[in-house]
Amino acid sequence: MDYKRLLTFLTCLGAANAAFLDSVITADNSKLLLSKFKAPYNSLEDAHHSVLGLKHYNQGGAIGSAESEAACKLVKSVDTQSLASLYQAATTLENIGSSCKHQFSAETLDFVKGKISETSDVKSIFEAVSVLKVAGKPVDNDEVIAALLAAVKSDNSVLSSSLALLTASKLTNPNLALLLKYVDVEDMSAQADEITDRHLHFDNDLVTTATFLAAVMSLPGKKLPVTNDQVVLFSNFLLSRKTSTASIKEASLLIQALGKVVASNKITVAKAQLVSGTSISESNPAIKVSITNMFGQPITKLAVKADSIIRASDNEVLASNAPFKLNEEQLNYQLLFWKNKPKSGFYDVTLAASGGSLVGVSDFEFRIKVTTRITLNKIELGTAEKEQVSPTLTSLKFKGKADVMAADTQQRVIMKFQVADATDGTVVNPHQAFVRFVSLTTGQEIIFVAEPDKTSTYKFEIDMASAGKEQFNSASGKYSMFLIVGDATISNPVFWHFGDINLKIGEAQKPKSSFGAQYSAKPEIHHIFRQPEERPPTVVSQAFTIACLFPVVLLFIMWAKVGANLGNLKLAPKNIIFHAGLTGIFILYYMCWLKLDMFTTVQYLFGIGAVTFVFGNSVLSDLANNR
Amino acid sequence: MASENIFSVATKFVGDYMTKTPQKLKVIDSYLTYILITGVMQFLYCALVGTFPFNSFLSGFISCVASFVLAVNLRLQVNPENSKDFKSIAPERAFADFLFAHVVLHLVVINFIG
Repeated sequence: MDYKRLLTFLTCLGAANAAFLDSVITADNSKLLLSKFKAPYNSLEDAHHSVLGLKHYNQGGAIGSAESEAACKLVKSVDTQSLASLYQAATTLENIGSSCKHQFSAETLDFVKGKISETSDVKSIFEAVSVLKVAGKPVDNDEVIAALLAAVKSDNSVLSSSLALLTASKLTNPNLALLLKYVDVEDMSAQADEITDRHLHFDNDLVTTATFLAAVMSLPGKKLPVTNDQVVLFSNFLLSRKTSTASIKEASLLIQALGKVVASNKITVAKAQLVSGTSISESNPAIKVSITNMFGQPITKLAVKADSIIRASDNEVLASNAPFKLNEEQLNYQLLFWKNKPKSGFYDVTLAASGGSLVGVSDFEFRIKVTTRITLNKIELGTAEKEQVSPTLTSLKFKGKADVMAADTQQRVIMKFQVADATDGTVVNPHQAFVRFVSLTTGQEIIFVAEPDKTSTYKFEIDMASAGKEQFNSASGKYSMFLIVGDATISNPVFWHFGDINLKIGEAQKPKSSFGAQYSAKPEIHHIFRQPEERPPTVVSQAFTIACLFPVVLLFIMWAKVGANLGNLKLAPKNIIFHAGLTGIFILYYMCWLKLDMFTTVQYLFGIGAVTFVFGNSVLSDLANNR
Repeated sequence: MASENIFSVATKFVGDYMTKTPQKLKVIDSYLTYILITGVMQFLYCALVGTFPFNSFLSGFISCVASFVLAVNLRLQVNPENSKDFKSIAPERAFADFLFAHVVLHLVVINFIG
């Protein structure tokens, strides 16, 4: 058991690391792309890109006559003073076949040959070499390599380096070692930008990325200088642009690069797709997998097998190394999974395919579900008195209909059934089993859940005393009863009207509408002030007011006894002002209590306080001096 | 015997107070007594009848307590026996402080009385 889990884990790990194609160029995609390549063309440049695009999409096959003729016309109008124009004419001529005749003059070829020098840029050298090759003129390998080296040294961008590699791969038996010393393919691909482990690209630029991939694929040699995963990731980036190419040039470069990958004999990039749908049943018994190249064309010469088929619920390995058979008509690979009589449920399938340098099929994982037909057994139905322990139930046939039953608040309604696989008769536990009551008068629905016990017998029981009030809202009347059984792995879910019942559970109340309860206006909320505490009788309050004021009298009596006097008081103006100030402050406080607010009070206080302070100071210092 | 003793002590205390205490301090003492009784009255009302305007009770009572404390301070500073402790503070200066403190205190009390 444990090693199986480990195996699953390792498989998952492998799957996470392996690179898969995100998509392929489907029929719709190719229609859109190829529509850009249709004649008539506006210029020789458009014709050049279109012809190259078509040629690569057709994998070297012939091009339509309308396109050939239109392109041939433009080739004849070539500008012999422009290397770019000559290059476009030459490549177009090369690809449209022998029907178009055009000869480059000796002068022109000399002009072109002169461009292969150490002062030219990579693009010029590439174009010159292409023209000479088409014209069938000999090219000096060493001279070209030397010129390329000089050009790459002055411009070592990815685009220029890729073009240099493309140029070199046009030569016959070139000595690439020297060039590859300066143009390090592994280093360049290592520096490509990566998006979420799915794409590799250079500066998000289609032209550069496509040229690089084309150059890598055209290099001679037995092994690719990049890893298989990198080819897939670069292709993914190009495929992500398949519907959004801005120009004929971009569309053409995209098709050229992908076409070179498809045509390569060093790597086969394939995409596996589950075409049978995820649901396997008696009517759809086979797992069907289509394996196509990036142009959506089926790859048929492969040995495909299911590495493992594991049930998701208990990790049991159902099959390993099960071979898929090629279906010649549908051009896909099929495995008759139903033949193994699998139990219903979910299964994880891991593919394996052999075929040398095949990339993108092995470790491809998908989940299928096996659906099955079910039938219901041991259906029993009846009512029982509240205290009755073993009620007598009547059995019922699946799809049949029971006699009309009756129940009141003293009774229980009971139903039992088992769900069995229709093919082998084993008992299964579906996810969902419900009993639905529908009132024939109001149409109100009440749904109860049926739960399985240990023996997988579903039992459903409602006590009318409580349920009658809570769920049925005490609405007596005739109800239809339905049984609903369903599951993701059941192909024939059950919705069965098994009987009717008359319920006597009290007076029908007005049905509570949950909608009304939720959205109707709630009672208005009024603010309630706190009730004031009970006040004492006025007499008591007045008595205490007097009691609080009374000590003033006492104070004056005591002062009189002690002999306090105002003998020292002089009636000088400053004394009067001082005392008036003090009195004023306390009158101000009294006013504040009655009507003023704190701000105005403090404003006045500053005025009166300042005057009082000045005069108080003078009065008190006079007193001190006179002592 | 003992009660007679306490009585004679009390008589002597009152006599001494009457003869030896300066008149100014007696004035202040009368004032203190007045405040004390007023405070007690308010507290009695609160205890017997209810706290209803609680902020009013608090401001009145606090006014009494603070006035008492301020008057005690004034008495301390004015008392000639303490003059060596308050050399730099003349009685007039103490009285000025007393007035100023009252102005501030009653501003707060009025604000609180509601």
